[in-house]
Amino acid sequence: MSSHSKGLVGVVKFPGSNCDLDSVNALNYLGIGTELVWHTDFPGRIADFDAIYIPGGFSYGDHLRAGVIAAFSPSLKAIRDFAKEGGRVLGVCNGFQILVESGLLPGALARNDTNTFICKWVGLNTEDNCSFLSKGKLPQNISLPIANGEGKYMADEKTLEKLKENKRIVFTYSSNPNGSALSIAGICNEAGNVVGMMPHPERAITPELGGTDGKEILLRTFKQ
Amino acid sequence: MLESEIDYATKILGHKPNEVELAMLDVMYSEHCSYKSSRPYLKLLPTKGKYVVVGPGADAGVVDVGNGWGVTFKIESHNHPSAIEPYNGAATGVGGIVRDILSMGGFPIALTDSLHFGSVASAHSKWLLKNVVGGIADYGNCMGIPTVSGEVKFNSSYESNCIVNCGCVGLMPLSQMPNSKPLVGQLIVLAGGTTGRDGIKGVSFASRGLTDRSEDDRSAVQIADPLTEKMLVDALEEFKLKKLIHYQKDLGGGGLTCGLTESLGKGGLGAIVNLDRVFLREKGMPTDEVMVSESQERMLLFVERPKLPAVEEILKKYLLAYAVIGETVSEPMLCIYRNNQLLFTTNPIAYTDVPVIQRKEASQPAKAKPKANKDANADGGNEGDNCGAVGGLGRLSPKLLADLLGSQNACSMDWVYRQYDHEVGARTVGKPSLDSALLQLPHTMLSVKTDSNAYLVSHEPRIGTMHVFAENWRNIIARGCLPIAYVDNLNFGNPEREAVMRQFGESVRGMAEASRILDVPCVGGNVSFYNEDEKTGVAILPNPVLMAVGIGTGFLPKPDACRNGDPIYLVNGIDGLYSTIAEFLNKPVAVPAIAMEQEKAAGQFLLGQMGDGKGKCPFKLVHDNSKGLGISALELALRYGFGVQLDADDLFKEGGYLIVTSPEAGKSLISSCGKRNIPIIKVGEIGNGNSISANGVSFDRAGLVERYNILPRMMGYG
Repeated sequence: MSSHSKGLVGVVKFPGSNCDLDSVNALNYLGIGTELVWHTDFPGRIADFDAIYIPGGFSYGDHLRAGVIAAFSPSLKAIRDFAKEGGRVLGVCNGFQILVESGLLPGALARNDTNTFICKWVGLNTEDNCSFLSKGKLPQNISLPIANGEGKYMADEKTLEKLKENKRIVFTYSSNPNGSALSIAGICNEAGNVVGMMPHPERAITPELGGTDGKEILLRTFKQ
Repeated sequence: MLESEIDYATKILGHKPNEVELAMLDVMYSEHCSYKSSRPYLKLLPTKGKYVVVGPGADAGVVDVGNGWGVTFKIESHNHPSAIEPYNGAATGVGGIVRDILSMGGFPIALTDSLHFGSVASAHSKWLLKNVVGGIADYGNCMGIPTVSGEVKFNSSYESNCIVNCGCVGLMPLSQMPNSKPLVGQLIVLAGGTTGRDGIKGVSFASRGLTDRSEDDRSAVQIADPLTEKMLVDALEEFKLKKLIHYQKDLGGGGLTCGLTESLGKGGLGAIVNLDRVFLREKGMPTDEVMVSESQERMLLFVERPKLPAVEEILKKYLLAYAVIGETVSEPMLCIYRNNQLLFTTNPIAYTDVPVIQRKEASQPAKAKPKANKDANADGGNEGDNCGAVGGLGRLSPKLLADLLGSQNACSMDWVYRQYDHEVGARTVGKPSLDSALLQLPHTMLSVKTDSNAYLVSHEPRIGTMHVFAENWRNIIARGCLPIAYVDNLNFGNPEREAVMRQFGESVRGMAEASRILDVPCVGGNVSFYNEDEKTGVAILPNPVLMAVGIGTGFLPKPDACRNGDPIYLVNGIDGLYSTIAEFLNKPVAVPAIAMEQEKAAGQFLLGQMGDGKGKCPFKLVHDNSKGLGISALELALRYGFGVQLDADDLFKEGGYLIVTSPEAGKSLISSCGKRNIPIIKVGEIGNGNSISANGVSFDRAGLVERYNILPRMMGYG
């Protein structure tokens, strides 16, 4: 964990990230100190941050496969070290895809079963609470928007078994929109400090936008 | 190009145009770039108003939305490219309109569209729809611009010539608007995509009819690269903050030729341009192709020399290819170098001051043609067919409502807009489904909507267009905003045909009248002619698409507040207007006159009730009634999950607003409307569980849901 205690969250921006501003605005709205940093500058700045947020979007235009090119950015090496030391990392949507492609989380995110992009609000069950969401349980049923074309979570049987056993499934869909294995919408790593999720908490901050269930997730993740 | 146009250009150039100049002139004299047939008509449109900052003539209009903020918006057609290569045609339609917004200094915050295809039963139309939607979705989603509003309609006149109009809205502090022209001694930087053989003379292709050979014109369609455009957006934001760019211009139709000559023409300047610097996608591209290529995601930046290093640093950061291709000079001539030699010197004015062509309008509406085949005219109404045609349609059986609901022009478009990320940006308060989109700006709500009604316009272009204008107005009002300006996309057939010019002229005159009375000025637009199938000679139904924006406190439906017994009112419905059911039944439609003053009074009155911003609005639901009151009420019942009991003579009557209130608020609404001579009738009630009935006929709710959501099944999914 980094040494200072300002509670600053580093939001990393790749070429093609497009939820970066929404994420920064949401965190600021919740009173969480935030700085948006270009991915090549990120390794040099990582010591300044208490936690890291990888926002959604289409890093490198989703060329080859969603998240795969960003996974080779030098910033991901730095983020891997940061996570190894117990630093909190949240990846949302493309951020989840990048975490999976860089091996920080297991499995893969494949094309939705509908073979289309899907943008809608979905019901979610909050499952086993990983360490950084654990201070007081989240409500059992929440509602968040999804917006992705490659959001179908897949992993081999053994991995799925392990995720279940170790209580690493953070969110499941109440009605599976895309064919995700075990209806998985979000998972965490073994230590519980790295979370990836397809739904967008940063879009669910005020009632006018359709709901406020994203608030608690961001607060619990970043304001400890 | 016409002989007379070549003579005209020769006179300005002072010499006979060489081969490259001819290619450049050809694109600039195309209908698409020059508006040579439409300009005399567009002059009729009111363009001034208290909100207007920049009117027509710029890359996009700009309006002042208060507190120092400006909104810039525009709509443009990409019909022909989409007709032969729907995915890239539509995607680059989005890319092109976004760059217009960027040229004005706007940060793109919303996309809209208006899409028209042949009957959804045709395999070709299914292919077009699937790929057009896919192209728009992939481009907009990747760029992170929400597609918030739009329409998809079907009529067999669009079978071979679909309509794909894409709009974009941008936001900016007015203080950050770029300059309106370049100055002498500035470096010209070409940034973004590389220049290739895609989109060669795309505008010329767009300015003639589609033929059998059009498939060979695929090289006139550009290829989309949304990542590069996203990088352009991010780079331009940094330039803006650091005030690094003096003037910027997108490269769209006409490519470098258009970008250079229009920029120089505005500034009364010349430039020395070295084409050796331009990044080419392939070797050996001849000079004329370099000058007219419409390769996407390119912009010209005019930079003061000392600022170049800072500009370069940002372009490198965002992985954007760029080259300093020249410099502006005071002598108003464009000097083109290649292989380190001066190729030729040409006068920019010869390209930008294109003479108007006075087209002839037919003096009479076209007579109904004998039917070419069973389908060609069945839903292609002809002007003049409207004499009392649909008397009695209003009292059709309620059972017809269910059939209409499950038809291509009344069913839900969920399948389309769920493919668009309509929420990125975290501004989309009023989401796609009913009425216009509502976006949260820093200090106000902004509403935006595209509307059209080609079927109505085809029967009576002038009054039909006024109805479209009124519908667009109502859609903005229904979201609690005051319409402040609009842009138009005029899709018509071949302007060389007098009958088409009559439709065009009548439509523009109607638009001007509606615009004047409602006090909503035009701030820009696009004209797309030559929308016809040369093989059959059938022009599309004339289709003026309007896109208005409005500002205000905003209104969001309150379905949770609806209770059993709450009355449903039709406020300011239009007697005799039945376009949706008439088109469904393949019947000619009567086009009743529209009382625009009353339309204005009704809109302002409702806005006053909704928009006090103190939460005292007496309305629970407000919904534009453009598909007929029966369908509009079913939409409310199905979207919000409650029951509706309709009791109305005229289930298919259009126009006005459906409004749900409490019974008490309803009484005062009736009396307020009465005082203002705004017609109001009660057409039904919320309630009786979730059961739905009309004039005593009960519907099976599950069956209605199935019909309403029929589009994916019509498309062959699920």
